[in-house]
Amino acid sequence: MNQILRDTTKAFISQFETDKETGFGEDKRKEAVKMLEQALLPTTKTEAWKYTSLKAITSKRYQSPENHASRNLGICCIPELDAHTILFVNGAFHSVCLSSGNDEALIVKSFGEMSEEESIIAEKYFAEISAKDSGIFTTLNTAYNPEGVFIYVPAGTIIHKPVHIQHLTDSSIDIAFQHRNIIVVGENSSLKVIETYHGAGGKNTLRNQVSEIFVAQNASFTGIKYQNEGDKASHIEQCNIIQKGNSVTDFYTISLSGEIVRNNLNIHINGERAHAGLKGGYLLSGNQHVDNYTEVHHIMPNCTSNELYKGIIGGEATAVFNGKIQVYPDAQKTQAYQSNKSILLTDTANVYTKPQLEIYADDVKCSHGATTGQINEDALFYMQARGISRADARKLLVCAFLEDTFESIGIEEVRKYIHAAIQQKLDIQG
Amino acid sequence: MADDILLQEITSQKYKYGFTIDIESEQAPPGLNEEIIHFISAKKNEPEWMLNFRLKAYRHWLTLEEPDWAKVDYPKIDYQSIIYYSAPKSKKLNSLDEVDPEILKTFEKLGIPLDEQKLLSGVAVDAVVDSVSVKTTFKEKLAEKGVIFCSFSEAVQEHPELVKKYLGTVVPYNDNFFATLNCAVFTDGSFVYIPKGVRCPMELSTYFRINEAKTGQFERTLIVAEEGSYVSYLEGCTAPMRDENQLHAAVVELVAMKSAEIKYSTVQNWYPGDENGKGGIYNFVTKRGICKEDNAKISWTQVETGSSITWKYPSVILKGDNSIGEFYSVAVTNNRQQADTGTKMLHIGKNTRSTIVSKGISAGKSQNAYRGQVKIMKSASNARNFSQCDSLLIGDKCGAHTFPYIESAHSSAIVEHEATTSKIGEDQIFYCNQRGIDTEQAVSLIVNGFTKEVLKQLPMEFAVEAQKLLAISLEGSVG
Repeated sequence: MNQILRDTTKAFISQFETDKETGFGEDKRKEAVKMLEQALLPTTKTEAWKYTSLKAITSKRYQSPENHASRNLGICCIPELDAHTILFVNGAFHSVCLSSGNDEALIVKSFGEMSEEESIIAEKYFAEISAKDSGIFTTLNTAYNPEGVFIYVPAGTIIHKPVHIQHLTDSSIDIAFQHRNIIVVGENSSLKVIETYHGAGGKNTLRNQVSEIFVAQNASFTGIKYQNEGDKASHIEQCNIIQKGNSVTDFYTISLSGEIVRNNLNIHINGERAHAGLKGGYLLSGNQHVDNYTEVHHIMPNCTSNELYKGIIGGEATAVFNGKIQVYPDAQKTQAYQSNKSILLTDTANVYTKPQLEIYADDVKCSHGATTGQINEDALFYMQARGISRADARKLLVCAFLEDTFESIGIEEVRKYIHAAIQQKLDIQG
Repeated sequence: MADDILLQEITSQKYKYGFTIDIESEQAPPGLNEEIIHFISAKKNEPEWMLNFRLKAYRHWLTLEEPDWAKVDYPKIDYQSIIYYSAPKSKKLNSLDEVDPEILKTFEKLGIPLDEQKLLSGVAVDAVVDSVSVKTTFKEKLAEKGVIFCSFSEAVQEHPELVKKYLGTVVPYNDNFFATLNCAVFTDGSFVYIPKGVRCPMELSTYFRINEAKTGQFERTLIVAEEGSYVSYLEGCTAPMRDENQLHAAVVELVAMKSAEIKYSTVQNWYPGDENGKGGIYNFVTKRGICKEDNAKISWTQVETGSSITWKYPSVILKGDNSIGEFYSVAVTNNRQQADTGTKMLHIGKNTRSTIVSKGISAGKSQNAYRGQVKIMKSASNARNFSQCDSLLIGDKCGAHTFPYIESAHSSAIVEHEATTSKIGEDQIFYCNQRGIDTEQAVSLIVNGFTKEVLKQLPMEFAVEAQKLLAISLEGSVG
């Protein structure tokens, strides 16, 4: 059994092996390559992967992408959004467009385009939090990924326009590739990043991504992740965020499709009086499988976190939510709240929820709640009684249910875009 | 700080029931092998099928590894240094006079209702001292109704067809490491059979007591409630102070037929170890009930204050339509106690309902975890679950953890879970102080209120004991 797993792991890793170099972090890279020799893929017996089987991924043979051109660049755009954009096609850097204005201090570069100076800064943050126990996918990314984006905001800078990282997967063959984000928000600075994932081509694809985000003292960071890569796209991401004192992070994860989607979101609150907000919404159909695995580490006192994940699951889809809140021994006066709500539309859909509270300090207020249920019949009846068709009433309720998870996004164009995408998905499903 | 003094007081609170008794005992040599199993089986004069059941379990056990997923931490158990069989006198007893006076003394110290005065309280007692049932009262009265309430070994002799029919049907011999071990070496326990349509006229109660040093106690309880019957079963435990860790791996199986109801209450107060965590009982228990047919109901209530390690998940399989499962729990940990406890509710039938209320209180340097699973199968339309897990932290060195697993596969099922963790609010204490209630009393008041929802589920006699235990566990109360 173990030998089979070893072989599968080896075959899986070999799909990503490359000699290309990034130009920084060579030591960490070598260390990661070495660690991979011992690494094994998680199975459903691994507690953290209990509800997500990787068979769909490991049974496929992916190639490394060669073609990075696409005619479908247009689908990546968010209408009317005024943003600095950087585009990646099949994992490779395509183009960057920094909109003119007063965000001069902002650095947005693909790894390949970086100056020597920038490389030195990036190296400092590279693989810094994605330490040894982050798992095989992170190690794999560290070992064999030459591509990614580096975003740097110097201290005391407010970036007015959001940064939009566009990912497009468009291939005529089955491909697997990696991507890495290193985002540094300096002291007293503020940054908003939107990451969108779109797909075309309809081939099996696998993305293995790592994001490392550093939010310094008094800084503010908003991250929005919008996934709609298609039913054959698998997506594994490890997103690690470190927050310092008085900082604020808001992170949104919206998932509308994917074969196997695994979003690991780890927030380390490593400074006093910081706040982290995590929100996630998912609308699933068909055979889609989305697994949101979040961890909030309250390391220092007087911090707050608030987590809300809501999902609508139809077809034969599966939604998994794992929310861990860990309050460290010294983190007194922590307030951590978490909530996960799911609605099952069909009897073939599955929901697995596993909230976790691990609390080692006494003066804390922590709670979590989880519900799974169905669309409220009374509400449907109420609307039908007022002349709204049952189908429309359902759509309204579904939309309203999910709206909670993204209405607080401060960028109106993005909020509208997500809303429209949900509407559209519901229209197709009927 | 007054708080610190109070904290000290509670941490230095000695185990009140810590004493040992000396009973001439007959015991097996330490260690575990097929020979020992043959010895136990022969000692108990068991039929061959029983021996085969044990051997099958033992052989399977050899292939298993000790589980390590629970949030507990303890030195490795050496299963070969445990004595698997130990019995006080094996002669038959008919009246109290024949009972070893030392045992009576022990019971008296514990306040166990075995003597006449206690009989008046209407409790039938099947008292277990070290693996063998010593005394069963009220048997005749129960027999009138057709209720069978006897020790497990007696049941094997006198009602083999019933035991054979139900043994291992809820917790199979290969269920888990500790349950399998129990299957191989269990020495005694209780057997209850309630015939069709009978409402058991009294609360059935068993007091367990671990006694001989180095003796793991492996009880096995089997309760079968036939159609339309009702039984309330109480189980309470205390144990003497010991320096060596003692292993306790019990198995409890409940079977509820159509419209039957089983209410199972536990007050557990085994020796929790001293303030450094030395000694104390390892309590690895597998408890499971099945609502086998429609409209059945199984209710677990537990008050866990003892043991150095608790690993216990009383579960209900809701197989029959409209069946109900309940779990009410108070778990108190102090000093270096560790508890990983919770429940599993498996919804298979239609319109099945389950309620989980778990209250954890951790003090000192203890760790207290709730781990529970609610699983709604595809067949369980209109299933309903409500879970609530609250934790109270006393002192800044302890931990409270919650690990609920919710798995829903039916759109008409409604599952709700909520958990909170907090400490006793300064404003709550202040409010009480202001009204002339000192801090100590205020804490006990708040703890009492915190656990009330669970304690009120216990039968009257038991609730009193439970409250006493809570008071002892958190005595000198805490700030």
